[in-house]
Parts: sequence; C-alpha cells; structure tokens
Amino acid sequence: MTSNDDVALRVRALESLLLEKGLVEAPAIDEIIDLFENRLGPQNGARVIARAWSDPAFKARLLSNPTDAIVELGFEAVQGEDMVVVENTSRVHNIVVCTLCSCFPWATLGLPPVWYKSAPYRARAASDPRGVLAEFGTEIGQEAEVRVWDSNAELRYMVLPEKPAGTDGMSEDDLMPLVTRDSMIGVTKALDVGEVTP
Amino acid sequence: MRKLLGVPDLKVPARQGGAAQPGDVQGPVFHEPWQAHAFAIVMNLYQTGQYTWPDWDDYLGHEIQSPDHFSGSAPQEPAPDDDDLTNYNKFLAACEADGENYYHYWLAGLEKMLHVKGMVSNAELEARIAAIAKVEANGPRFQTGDRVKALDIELQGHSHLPNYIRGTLGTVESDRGAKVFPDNHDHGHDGGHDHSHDHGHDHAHEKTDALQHVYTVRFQATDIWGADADARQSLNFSLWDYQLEAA
Repeated sequence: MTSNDDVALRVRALESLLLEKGLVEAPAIDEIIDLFENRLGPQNGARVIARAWSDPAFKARLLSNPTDAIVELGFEAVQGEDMVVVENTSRVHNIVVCTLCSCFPWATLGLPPVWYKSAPYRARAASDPRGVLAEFGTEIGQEAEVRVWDSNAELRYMVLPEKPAGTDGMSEDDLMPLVTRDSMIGVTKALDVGEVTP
Repeated sequence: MRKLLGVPDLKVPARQGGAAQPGDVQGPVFHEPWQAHAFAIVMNLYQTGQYTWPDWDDYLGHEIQSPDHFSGSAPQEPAPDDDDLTNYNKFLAACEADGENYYHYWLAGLEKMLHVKGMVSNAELEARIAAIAKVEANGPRFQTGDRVKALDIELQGHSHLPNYIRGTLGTVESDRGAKVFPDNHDHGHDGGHDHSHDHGHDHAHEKTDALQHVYTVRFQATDIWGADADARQSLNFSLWDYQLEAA
C-alpha cells in the first residue's frame, strides 16, 4: 500500500467511528464537500470586488462594514469569522498571510491555494513581503508602503485591488474576470484588460 | 498572463452563468478524496458544536508548526526538480511542495483533538484501521448462491440467530458488505444497570472480528421444520460471517 492509501484508510476509519457515535452525519459530510468543491471560490470574491469598483456606495460599506456588505451579496461567513477588507492604492499595497496556519476568507475566496498554506510563504510574507511580491512578478512603487496582514481564526482579510486603468465604464460582469484570487490575497494586482484570456 | 507553476493562476469565465463556481484552474480544491473527507469531518464537528473554531485552530496550528507528526500521516517530501520545473520560480515551487503536506497536518491535528476531547481515542482508531484493513484484505468469504451452514454454537448476546436455524443448511442470498460487529450489544437495549450477573451462563466465545461481512441467508422451511413444512416457504436471515461455515 502506498502512503496515500494508508492515510485514506485512516480517514475512512475515523469517519466510520464518528458516524457510529453520531458525531458526524454522512449527508452533512457530502454537503460540506460539495459546498467547497463547487460553490465557494474566488468568483464570489471577484463579484464583491467588481461591485465595489462599480458602485461607490457599496465600496464605502465594504470598507466600513465588510462582513455585512459581503453578506449583502449572499456570501455568509462559514465559521462566523469577521471580514476585514483592505484597499490597495498606488501608495499602500496590502498583502495577506496566515503566519500560524492557513486562515483564509472561505466565503469569498474558497479554500486557500497550496502555496498559501506553506512554510516558505508564511515565513517570507512576514519577513520580506517585497521579495514575495517580486516572486509573483508584482511591481510596486519604491515609495509605496507594504502592509502585511496576519489572518487568524477571528479575522479574515481580503484585499480590494486597485481598479486597473482603462476600465472606466465597464460593467460589473465585465470587470469580474480582472479580479484574480491572488489579487485578493494581495500577492498580485488585478489583471489588465488585455491580460484576460477569453 | 501571470503563471504559477505553469498553470494560469485563475481563469474566471467572462460571463458568470448561474451558480458561482470556484473558477480555479489550478486543479480541484482537494487533490485526494481523503483530503475532502478529513476537511469535512472537522467542519461537521464544528457545525454541531463539538468545539470552537479557535480551539481547532490551535490543534491545526500546532501540527503545522510542529515536526512531531503522526507516523501514519507522514508528510510528503518536496518533489524533486525535473526539467519541466527548471523555468519555474524556485520560491513558489518550494511553497507548492511544502503546501502539499497541509492535509497531513490537518488529519494529525484532528486525530489529536478527538483523542484529547475523548471522542475517538488513538487505540480505538488504530483498532478500527486494523479491522478495516483485515476485512478488505480478506474480502467476502461467501458469494451469492453458496451453500452455508449456520453454526450450532452458543452465540454472543444480540446475535439475531434463532435457535431453530442453528446447524441448518441454507443458501447465501446476498453479501451485504462489511459491517461493524456490535460487540457492546450483548447488553441489549436496556443498558444502564449492572450486567455482572445478568447471564446465567458464560459466553466462553472467542472474540469475533470488529468488522465482518453480513450475508442474507435463505433457509427453506422444510430444512428448518422438517419434511412436513410448506415447501413453498423460505426464511431469510441476515447473519454475521462468524456465524456461518461453508457447507
């Protein structure tokens, strides 16, 4: 048996015991997997950002009361955590990390990418965020301030990226493809119009 | 377009049709089904109030920070460089490799939490793992149509094997799959009182496997009651593997 088979067996054994004890329920397990595989993901966050870019009143609510503003669009916090939205400008670039583990805004971004959960990212985002941005190919101004935000169990951060140039007058739906998951973590900027693959 | 390990980071469809999709072309959210189940178990336990989220975070964080991991969930080694990776950003490649260990840590944290909180002990888990491995390695002993004989033995308490079919020949109607043998059921459905002198006889029966196949076995009425019985009648019982022998 491979290591993967061994660990799969451990999980099956654990689940069978918990099912017998009535601590978990099979339909609930299936529902959770479906939720995270099919319904939660960065498209939710992209909807939030595109709305903020095209609706100043929503943007104001999003920055002042993010949790409620996000719920307006139907994305409820999964673990009852509070959301914080930080805005990127030409002068301030925000980047999000969970230095301890993997805290992430699931309702808007889904589960974190593999690299977000890794030790190199967690360590270096804290110690050398400009270096991390360079690794992602993200250029920010020499004078710009970089703010690193450490997510935890109670507070989850999402970055409101700068609205790309040349997007005035674009509809919310047309703006959405410019908003990438990585841009909402803050490791990249939003895509330019020409960068979107049709 | 920006790339991470050769894969476009995110491709949101130009038009959002219907329900929101994850839209992440890095691949499936969970790379293996066990990861999805380990994840969902933690979520379900949280939903039903078995612990608070910060509480779980402590267990997960401890595993992620700690080199002391369970032997059964050994983290993967970072993938060796190969030619396809030469152009990739080494920092991001290292992040990807380390991040693959994440659900191993997740599982280790879950096992520890369940043990500490008294929900599933380590011993209980190891016993169940052994039982599943054994029953799956052996497979079913009987197939549909096999002739079997119900053992004529003193059976453990809640056996559902009536006296009148002991020693009787029957035919396997179907294999119902491996089930958990309810070894606590000899205390019946009236639990709570002292059982130390309930049983007038000693069940000197060797311990049966924790997980066994259950078979539905068909007995002809004539085989049970004798030649005078209605030949058009059968009785079907679901019996544990240990209650049967090949005939």
